[in-house]
Amino acid sequence: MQESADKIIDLILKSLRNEISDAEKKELDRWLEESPAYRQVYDELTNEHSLKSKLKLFGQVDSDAWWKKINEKIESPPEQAVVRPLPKKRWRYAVAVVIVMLAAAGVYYFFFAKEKPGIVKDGGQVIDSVTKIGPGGNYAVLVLADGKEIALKPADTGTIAESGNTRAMKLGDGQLAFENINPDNTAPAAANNLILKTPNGGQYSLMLPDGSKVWLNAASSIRYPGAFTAKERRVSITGEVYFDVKTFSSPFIVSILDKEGKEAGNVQVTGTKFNINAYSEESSIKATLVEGKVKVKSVVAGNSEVSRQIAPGQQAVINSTNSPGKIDVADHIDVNKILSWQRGIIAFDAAPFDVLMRQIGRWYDVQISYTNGIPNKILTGDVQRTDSLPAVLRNLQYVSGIRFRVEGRKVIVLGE
Amino acid sequence: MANNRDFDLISEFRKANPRAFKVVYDAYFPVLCYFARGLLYGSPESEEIAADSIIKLFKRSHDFESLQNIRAFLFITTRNACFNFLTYSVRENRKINRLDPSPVEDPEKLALSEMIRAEVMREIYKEIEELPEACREVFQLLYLEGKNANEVAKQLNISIVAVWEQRQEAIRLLRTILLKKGLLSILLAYGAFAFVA
Repeated sequence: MQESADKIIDLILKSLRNEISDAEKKELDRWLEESPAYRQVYDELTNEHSLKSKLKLFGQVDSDAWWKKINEKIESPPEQAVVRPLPKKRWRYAVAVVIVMLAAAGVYYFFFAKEKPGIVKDGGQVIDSVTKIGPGGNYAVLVLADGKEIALKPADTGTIAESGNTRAMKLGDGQLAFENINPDNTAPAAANNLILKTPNGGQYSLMLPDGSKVWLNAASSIRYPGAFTAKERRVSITGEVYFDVKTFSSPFIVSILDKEGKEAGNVQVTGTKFNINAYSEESSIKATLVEGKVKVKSVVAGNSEVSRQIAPGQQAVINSTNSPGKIDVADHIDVNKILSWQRGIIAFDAAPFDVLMRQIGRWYDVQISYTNGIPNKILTGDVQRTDSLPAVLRNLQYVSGIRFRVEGRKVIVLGE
Repeated sequence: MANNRDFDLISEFRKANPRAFKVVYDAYFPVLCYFARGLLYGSPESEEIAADSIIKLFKRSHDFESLQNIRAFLFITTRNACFNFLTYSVRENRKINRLDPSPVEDPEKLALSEMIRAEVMREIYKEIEELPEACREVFQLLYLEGKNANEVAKQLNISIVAVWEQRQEAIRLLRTILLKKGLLSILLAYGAFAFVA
């Protein structure tokens, strides 16, 4: 693989240095046409952001430490120099997707290779729409008390809306904050309910009127008043939301709404950090505590209330299908894993295939369907949320053997 | 002259001279790690695989006649180990009976593209390493670590003007256009800010 490689390396370097002749440029272009993989490499090398992050990676190897290890191994019997299979626990690293900003076009070429079974290759219009499927970002819609909707984008800062006495500000760090325009005005701002909602592929963070912070995952919402009353601080949510609640004497109550907008349960705290995962398409609502103390209550029409107190590292699971309203408490929860979405990772630990695909669907805003039923596979691994959809599917295919087809905004799971 | 030096290096390498080993190691280990990383999706096992390739190379050092041979051996050994690793770990953990190491892309092309990527990165990295020391330090902090001129001056205990001069020198010496441009834009932004303030 070397002769042609050296020629190509030379051409790419010349191109990066603006030292390439027209004839050489043509030669390089011809090579790039040969494989999507080549194109992807070239695109990444000619992208400043990507080049910079790769240069950092390149310099990261601890050469001195490895030099020592290698010398130790040379003196030991040969069988020890053989690569051993992964211990089970480290398996997930093999799945972990490289942290690379992939140019969408590059990925598309890479993924939709010529003549590969199970990969769409017909019709330019299909492929065109596919190239647009990148990861989600910091997007949300703010619904004001008067019903006015404002689309929030990552770039917006400063005043984004004014309604009644309230001015909505977007701070530099992406936090939303509200202030009273006229502090002398005693009109009850509390009556002004606001709703912040994220679409599929969106996420957003927000500072509530009491200084508490919330992070919304994709396809989630929070409804809260422009100002809290002295008696209680009540918000209601759908989807997945992480809370970092300021400690005050008035209780902070999170109502968890089901898909009809009715309260399915609530979480009551004074000040603490916790995550609620309450997507209505999942079979249960999960409240995971990071710090402090919370009381989780389920609300089921006709049933008496059930409530449980949980401690840090515990997770309350409110059953919403089999025995509605029942609360189970799980111990020793890997809280970091639960909160990984906040750090830009979709982490799945022994997740059923369809649960993982729903997460992917929400973040990449694609519909998932199955031609041969849901594969009976349990997966463990991480996906970087900055990766493009094709890159993610490519890796999933790698580790699970399951093939996918992408058509427009649909991902069709084909089976093995 | 280069050939002579290569020849000396090779003859010493064939005699298993540790210093010759170290020269070969320094030249290829980082690029092999990077290559393996590319094929293994960033798995931390990639460094272990690269190290094993180096060990295999050293154990049969008398077989090699040129640096080209050494390089080819290292890349091919590492490539094969990566594909084995992927296949084996998937089988072990997922009980899949049959697995194409790369079902999506032709594995040969994938390996070739990753090798080319790694080698180009090595050349660019070399460009930076060959900058004079002061210049390289300024580049490292200013560009790769994203510090501003003030912070760089403080950390290296030099004046801001010296930072500017070294940045200018780096722009002159570097050949990769993206790096030149990147450096230029960083300090221009800072300059504008300083001017306004």
